[in-house]
Amino acid sequence: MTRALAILLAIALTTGGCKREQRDLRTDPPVAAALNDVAVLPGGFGGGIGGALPPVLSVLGYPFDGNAYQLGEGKRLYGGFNCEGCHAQGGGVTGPALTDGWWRYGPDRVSIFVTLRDGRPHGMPAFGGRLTTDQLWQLTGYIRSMGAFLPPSGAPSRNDEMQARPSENRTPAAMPPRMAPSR
Amino acid sequence: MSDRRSRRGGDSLFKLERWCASFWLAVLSACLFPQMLLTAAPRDPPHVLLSWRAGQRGLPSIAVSADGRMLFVQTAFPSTVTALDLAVPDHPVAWRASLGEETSAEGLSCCAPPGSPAPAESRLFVNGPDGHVRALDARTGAQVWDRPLARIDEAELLLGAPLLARGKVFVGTGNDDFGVRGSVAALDLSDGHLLWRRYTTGPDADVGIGAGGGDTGMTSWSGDGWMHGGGGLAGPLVFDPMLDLLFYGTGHPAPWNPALRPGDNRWTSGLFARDPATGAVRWFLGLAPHDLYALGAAGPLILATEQGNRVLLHPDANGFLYTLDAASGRMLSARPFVAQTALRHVDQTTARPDRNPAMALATNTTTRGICPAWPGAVGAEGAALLSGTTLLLIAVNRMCMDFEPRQAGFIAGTPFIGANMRITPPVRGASGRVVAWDLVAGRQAWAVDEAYPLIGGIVVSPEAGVIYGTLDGWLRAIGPDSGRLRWSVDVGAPVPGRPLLFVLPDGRHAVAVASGTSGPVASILAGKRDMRDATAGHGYANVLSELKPPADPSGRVTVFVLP
Repeated sequence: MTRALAILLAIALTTGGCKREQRDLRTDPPVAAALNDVAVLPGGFGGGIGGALPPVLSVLGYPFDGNAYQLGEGKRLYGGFNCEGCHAQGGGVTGPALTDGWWRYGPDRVSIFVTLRDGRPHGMPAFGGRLTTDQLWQLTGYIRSMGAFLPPSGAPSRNDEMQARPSENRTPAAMPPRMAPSR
Repeated sequence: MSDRRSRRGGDSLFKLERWCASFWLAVLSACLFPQMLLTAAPRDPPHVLLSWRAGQRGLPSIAVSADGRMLFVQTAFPSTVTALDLAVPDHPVAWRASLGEETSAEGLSCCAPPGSPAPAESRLFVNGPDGHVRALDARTGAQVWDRPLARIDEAELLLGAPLLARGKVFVGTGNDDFGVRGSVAALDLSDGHLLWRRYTTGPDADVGIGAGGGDTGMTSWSGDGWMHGGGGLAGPLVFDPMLDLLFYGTGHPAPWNPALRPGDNRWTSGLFARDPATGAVRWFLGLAPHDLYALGAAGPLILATEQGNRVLLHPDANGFLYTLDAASGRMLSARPFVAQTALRHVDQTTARPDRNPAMALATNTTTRGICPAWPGAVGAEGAALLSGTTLLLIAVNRMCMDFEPRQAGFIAGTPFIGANMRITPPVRGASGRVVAWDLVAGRQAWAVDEAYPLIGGIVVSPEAGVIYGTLDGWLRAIGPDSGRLRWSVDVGAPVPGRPLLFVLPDGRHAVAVASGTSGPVASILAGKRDMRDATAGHGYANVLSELKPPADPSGRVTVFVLP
């Protein structure tokens, strides 16, 4: 009996763990195209702020918000595409800080995606021609996780070398723990 | 009787005791708080002639016309030039000119405050943040010519102030942290057409070296690294009319991670002397071949005459004071003016640095305790010679850093750094220091500590003393003979630039000072950065985290009449 329970538990743990790092190494071209389908609220600031997410994200289960693989890829892109030169490890240099909870061009996923894709005034370059759509979403997910981690906690852990700041998975939660519904 | 006498004796004994106690208390407090002695007898502070609020963030840059009548203030984003008339009471705005709506340079300009405008008799030459050099009419502000030079879409910027000499405007370009190839250009004074442009890296024809040079501006790099190798103008442009030479220092090679650019990386991190007519190289002195710590040959260049010879004094970012023969570029001496760990010594004839192997770098490994840190031991305007003496005043940064080189790929228009930096204060003593250097004896005459790094500049005159601004918002004057504090006024905002000494039209001596914030330091001082990240502001967050942002974030220019 206990043995069967232990096996069941092991299966549950392993399959649960699978989901955390589920990865899709090649996005289907129609899906990649659909990922670009953000409906941005029209406005100034070089591309608008806020809007609706691509519908395909809900079909995929919002993988860029909490999946460890996607967030880890986002972190790799953050270093590889020279984000650190202007934003440091999130504390900011000539570009604004990304961890202080204040967003000049909007805190939501659509705003950050559009910022990365199209650039913004005051020096933010456009990365739309340099990254694929799913890479832009990976980076969006990682940047959102820098100042506040998102459940489920797939955020990257500490760096191998210089620990300039608390690691991403030690940052405070983006939203308070869920309360019991009031009656 | 005897009772009374003894009581009186007791009184005097008690008085003596009390006197002794207060004496020792004074000695103790003087030892503990030496600033008390200095502030004990301040002179009358200077009074404010004019305080002008820019109404926007950023450090304004300032210049004064030769007759002391007009004060020109250039702001960055949005970029404007305002002329204030100092000869009329209430100092009204004489004119104001807009330099375009380009704002993208705000995220591109790293460290140096924008260069100040350069006034000539009837014109004002301005380096705009949009990469255009403009000539304005100094009386009306009307534009005379407009010459686009730096490609802002590739992160190329105009650096420093334009220099006027020999009927030309000399302008430096670059942006080392974005991998932009640095250059110096000469424009015609009358209509702004390009006379010549010489690059820091690349084939000899681009650099301005004659036949037989061997193209070491290309071959001392791996692959095409020279095409995005940095080496922009690192300090001031200096012209010597006696030798007819143009001098300047070149910036550090890009990226910061030295493992990504094997070779000597010529002609970055060195001093150039060029013929102002053609831009041809007369001599070059490499101060840091294959620069490890992103210092470049930043630092002031000061010309002096010693026994009939023209001598170039260069306190370098690496903490050594170089003395050169200005005509030939021959080294005369190199002495450290601040304690540092990166170099063991400098060869006194070739300038080749002997690096400390304990401070060697390796990719993805943090090397700790490198002094000086990347902002350099001295800023571009951080030294001044007291006229009539052999005393050089140097505003010193005493910062160290932890440095972790990382991978980096060049993407035009994005930073090309590949490093994490964390700046730390020195192990002992304060982060800033004013050093008075005796050039004859070759050693420090005196020094005064400052709590924060002195990244701004320093000015000195026999009448006014040594004047400098601090990051905690003070403008101070100290005596040039001993460093004793003369006066200190609260400007209200950080002073990351050099004060400007000049004579008003009515003959009174005045000092103009710009306060505000610029570059990575600036954003930290303006409270825009997250101090939990020690690498914020390229590591400045770690040393400046205790500074409070100024109450008024606007840039400001204040003119004081000196006592």
